[in-house]
Amino acid sequence: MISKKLSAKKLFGRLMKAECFRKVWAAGVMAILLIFALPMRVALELGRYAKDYSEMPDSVMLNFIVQNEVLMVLIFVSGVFMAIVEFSYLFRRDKVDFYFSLPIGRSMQFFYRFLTGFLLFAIPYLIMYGISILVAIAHGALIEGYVRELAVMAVMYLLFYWVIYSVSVMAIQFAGSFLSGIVLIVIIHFAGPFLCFILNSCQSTYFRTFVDTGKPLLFGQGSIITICHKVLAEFSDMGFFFSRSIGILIVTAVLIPVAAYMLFWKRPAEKSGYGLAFPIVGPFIGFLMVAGVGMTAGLFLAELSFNNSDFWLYCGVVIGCVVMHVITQMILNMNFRAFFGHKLLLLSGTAAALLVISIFRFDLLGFDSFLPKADQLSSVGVSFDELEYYRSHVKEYTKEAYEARFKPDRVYSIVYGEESDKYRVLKDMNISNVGPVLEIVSRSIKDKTWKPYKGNMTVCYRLKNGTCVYRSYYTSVLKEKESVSDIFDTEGYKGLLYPILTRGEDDSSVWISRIGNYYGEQKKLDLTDVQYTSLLRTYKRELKDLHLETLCTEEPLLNLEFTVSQDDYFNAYPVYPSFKHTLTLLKGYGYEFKPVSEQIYKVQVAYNPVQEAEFSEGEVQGSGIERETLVESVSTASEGSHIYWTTSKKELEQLKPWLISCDNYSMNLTLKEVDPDYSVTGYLLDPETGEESIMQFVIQKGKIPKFLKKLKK
Amino acid sequence: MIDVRNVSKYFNDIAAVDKVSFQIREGAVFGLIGMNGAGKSSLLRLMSGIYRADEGVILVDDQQIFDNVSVKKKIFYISDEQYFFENATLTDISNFYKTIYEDFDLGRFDRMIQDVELNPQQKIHTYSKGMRKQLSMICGICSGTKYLFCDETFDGLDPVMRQMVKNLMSYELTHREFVPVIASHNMRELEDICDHVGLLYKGGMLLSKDVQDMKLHIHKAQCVFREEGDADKAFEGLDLISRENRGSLYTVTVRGHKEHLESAITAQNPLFYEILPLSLEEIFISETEVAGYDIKKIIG
Repeated sequence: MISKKLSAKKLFGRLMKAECFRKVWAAGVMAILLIFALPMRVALELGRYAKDYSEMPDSVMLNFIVQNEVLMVLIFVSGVFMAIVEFSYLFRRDKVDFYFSLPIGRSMQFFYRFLTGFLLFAIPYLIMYGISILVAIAHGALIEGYVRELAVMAVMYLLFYWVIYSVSVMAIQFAGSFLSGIVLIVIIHFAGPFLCFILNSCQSTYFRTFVDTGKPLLFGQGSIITICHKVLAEFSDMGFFFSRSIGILIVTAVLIPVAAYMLFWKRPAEKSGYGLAFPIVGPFIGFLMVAGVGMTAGLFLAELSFNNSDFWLYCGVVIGCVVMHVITQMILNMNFRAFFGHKLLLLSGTAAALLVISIFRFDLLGFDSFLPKADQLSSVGVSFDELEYYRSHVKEYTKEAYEARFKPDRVYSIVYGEESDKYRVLKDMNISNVGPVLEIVSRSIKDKTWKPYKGNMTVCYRLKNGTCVYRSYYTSVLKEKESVSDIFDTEGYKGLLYPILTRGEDDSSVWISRIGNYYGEQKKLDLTDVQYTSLLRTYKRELKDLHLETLCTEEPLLNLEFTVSQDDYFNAYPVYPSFKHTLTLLKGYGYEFKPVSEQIYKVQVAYNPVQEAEFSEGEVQGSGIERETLVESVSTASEGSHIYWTTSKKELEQLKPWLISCDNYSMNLTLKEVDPDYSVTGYLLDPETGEESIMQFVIQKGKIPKFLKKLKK
Repeated sequence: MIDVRNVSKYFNDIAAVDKVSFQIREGAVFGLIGMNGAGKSSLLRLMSGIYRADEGVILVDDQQIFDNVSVKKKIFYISDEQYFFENATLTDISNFYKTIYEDFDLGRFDRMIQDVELNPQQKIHTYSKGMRKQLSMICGICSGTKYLFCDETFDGLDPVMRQMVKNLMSYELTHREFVPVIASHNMRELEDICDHVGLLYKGGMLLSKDVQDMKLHIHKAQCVFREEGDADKAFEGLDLISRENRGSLYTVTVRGHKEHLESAITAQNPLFYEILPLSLEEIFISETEVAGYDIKKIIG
């Protein structure tokens, strides 16, 4: 028995050795590609950094390794390539006859090739990885503090390769020909993301209330490649920790080779040269391909057509299904003549595609009309674009909370303004008084049409079963002022708009770094600790008491910039004229601000009536013009405008109280309604410095002074 | 011994091998005959353990063949399109086979290569079809396996090489345990080497018989009788398979012993008679006509 075992081991070793020698060219190809992805890239990147930085940032090497997209692409290509190199013999009858007639067990047949395919990548990879580290050291990168991370990443990339390679090998077991092998490899890797893409496209195109929170329909979009990317992203953002993604990868790394082996063992040798080795999967794959491509074709043609035409949508679905069916017949069944064989498959795939498209197009499942009852909800989170246009939904962590979760020596907020942050914030908002939100939503559902004055409102319904459902609606903050006001006054919403309010009273990880106008020079705030603490407390108290009505009647005098990290991320917070205590304190500290309009000594007023013809989404506030467009349009008086110049103190005094700075207006710091027909260029003179400047303004609606009305004539 | 019991193999509902049963005994040279698509190659692949039988069982030396390494070590399979590694030389191939088949005789391989004047430096993928078949046969012989399965191997060989292969097989047969199984659609090719043949038709085995056995019991005679009625008297009581005459020259094929035929003919004092040797094809024709098949359709 012992000699038999030794003999089998010996044979296995000899087979692997012989296979490695025969396929050494593949290792050579791997090595050449890895040179570009690893040592050469390290050298280029570090050389660039050495030029830009006087001292090499010690995390450069780690950032490079973790964020090496070129290596990830290469790993995917290599995994597929080596799977084909090792197992494409299954597609040729003469090779199958040769290998399967030999006195080598099927297990050994599979494993010696499988392991060879892994080693032919792993060995060149480890060599190049080691060379990269040496190159980095030669360039002065400090890697002593990152030895663990570098070792972990070396193993992680090998794990990525292993799973991608295993999945590709498994795909090949289903195929009987080279072409069908390629198709199946593509399907197994990309079907999940493709499916997610189609469904997301359908939702975003046809569901008005759809909100793309960034969360995929399937974990990792149902693809090993995206799960690998997720692991890299998690490492990059949050440091090295054992996440669910890694767990899934490890489980996959064990199960997939086993599945591939079992398929290999069961695979009928006579299927070499046929489309599929296991014909039973043919209908399933054909159905997926036909329905998936049909839906994609329909969406594509509808997108190209005028106004997302239904005719082209359904035509596209049918054409796409037929074309894909023909291609499927040719590739998977190796049947180049029976284009319309398996008619049942064609019909069922087309019917499924049409049904799914119709579900989205006509909202057959009631997605857009979804409105939970108050007793189904535990809380809601809500966001109004009209109020938050300029705000970033920065999840500002306290130092302690961050350290508990992320890398201890860094404190930073999640990326400035990413969508996923917004939905995370909504999820945590916990507004328990759901009534006002439901009232607004109910009215919005009844009036589905978009109007120029409407903005987007995003709602997160937290159901009592723990599920969070997101929807987006058209609404107008001013028209729903009463309900929005109730929402605005909640701690949850205020926390979204002004995250500083979620901080503890004496939180020292945030500080006011600068002070100034939104359009003027910012000054560094220079206070003692006691002054600072007093200012912070006072400001937070007044901010907490801020109501929506203030935004409708005032515009901020100045802003305070809060820095919340060593990386100098900051958020600008408004100080309104009604923040009397804050202003008093600042004055006492030597920081006094008057409305900038007081510096105006001359104005040019242009009258140019706005044509209310076409509106597109994004236009707000009753002006019929996008905020940005309105702001830009007042920069110069356009041809055909009626112009009026004045330096008259009397006229200026009539005009100044109703001027709204375009910056404040575009940043939603004020909700005052504006008259779109007038634009004002103000000429300012700084009394202290004597410097002149120009600013753009608009005039509050209904407050046009008499002397300007003659411009209409 | 190879024992094939009720074996079937289906390809997309078509029975490539349909309930085939036969045995190949030790020391036999077995010929597997059938036209294209009869199932010869499929049957050989089943016997080599390449295919898994859908029904039935194949035993080689009382062990199942499929995925049985110890049994497969006794078998060398030569396909109709034998594969060799890309860019391989003779040395690569012989070393590979040495790894797999412990009894592979490298010295004998080198000698045989020289005998047939194959260039050892030349890459195998540049060989002609005939040269590749020669090489396959040499590899098979040198592997030292008990069973050698040849799928239409003789087809690409020139007459000299064909004779050489037959001589080699004869040598192996006399010097060791050796059972070649040769599949072909050319009965004449197998005639002088096989001592046992099986006839496949549409996946089924029509007959499987020992050639000598068949020859012992079927005879062909030509004779000329003096009187017209003498032929009828002579052939009365014989198990006639076929009877033809051109004038007074009668040609008969008879089942039974040779002596019985001779005595029946000589009893009528013929002017001339001769017992003629039967070819394998003629024997098969006779046997299959009895079974109701037109052999010309079966073997093409």
